[in-house]
Amino acid sequence: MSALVPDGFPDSNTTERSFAEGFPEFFSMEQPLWRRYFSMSKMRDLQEKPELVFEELIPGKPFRPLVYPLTEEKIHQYMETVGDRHPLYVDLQEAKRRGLDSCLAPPGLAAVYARLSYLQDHCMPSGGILLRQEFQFHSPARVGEVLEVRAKVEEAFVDGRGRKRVTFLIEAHRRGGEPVSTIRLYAIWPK
Amino acid sequence: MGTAPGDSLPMITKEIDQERILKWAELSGDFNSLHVDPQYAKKTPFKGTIAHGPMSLAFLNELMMQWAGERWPAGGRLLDVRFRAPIRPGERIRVTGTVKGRLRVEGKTWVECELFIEKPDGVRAVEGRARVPEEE
Repeated sequence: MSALVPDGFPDSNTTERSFAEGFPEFFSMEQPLWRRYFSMSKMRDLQEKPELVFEELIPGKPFRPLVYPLTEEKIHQYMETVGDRHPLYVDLQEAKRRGLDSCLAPPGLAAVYARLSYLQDHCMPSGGILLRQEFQFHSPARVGEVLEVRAKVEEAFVDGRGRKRVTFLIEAHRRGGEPVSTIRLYAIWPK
Repeated sequence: MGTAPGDSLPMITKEIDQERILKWAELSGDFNSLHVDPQYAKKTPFKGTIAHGPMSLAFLNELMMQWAGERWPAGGRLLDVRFRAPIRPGERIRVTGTVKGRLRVEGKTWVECELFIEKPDGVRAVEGRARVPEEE
């Protein structure tokens, strides 16, 4: 197996080879970080998903709900990535001291599940611009809960300067229906 | 927490490097080449990789959790967050804000803050507002 191929990559599989040929830059770069962080399954997903094109973004169109479990593993991954080590995410005694019955999930995870909610079946075409974003929190999500995140296109239009403008409305609820967050994401879609 | 107009929020500093950007890609599923592929990004108008915009939202949420604690996810609002300039690997950014005042909206009294993320050269890469419901 080539030293540049990530661990677990089945070198003898021709299907996988074809996949590798689709990402020549990935396989020619001598960057240990790439091998460390990029799982082949995620790269494969990216290659297989169609791009979410502007013409499909019809106002009112819902995306299929995203089921997003707030596992301890995910919370730790978030904390490690962001460097946010708030005790309420991991210290049950501190949470109880503050009158909570369990640890809280970082509210910033909303930035993660918001994007995932409209890209479960598509990949984002390159060249888009995230213009603006807004969050409303309704109730704290707790570690161990499972969120259901529903996204829909709120607006999609071409503005006076010919730019393709899209607004997504994303609502996360805990199972049972109680709202957790409402997010609006304003973007310029690639041409 | 000081809630008088002009009071400063805590200041968080973050070292942005390519490793953190790759970790965010893994967490978020956003493997756009502009963020993760230095060779590709060199050929774009950005001349190199840039951090994902939503990572900045995570930093603003961290700031508000530090300042408002559990009141933040119980009813906070992060409003009109705009991405003004790219944040690049190698930059040390400051995440902070200021209390602007109180206002009455939706039948509640809120403390409103101005938030921003500042790059080493003083440029504000991200700006926005936050509202926290005042304790009854």
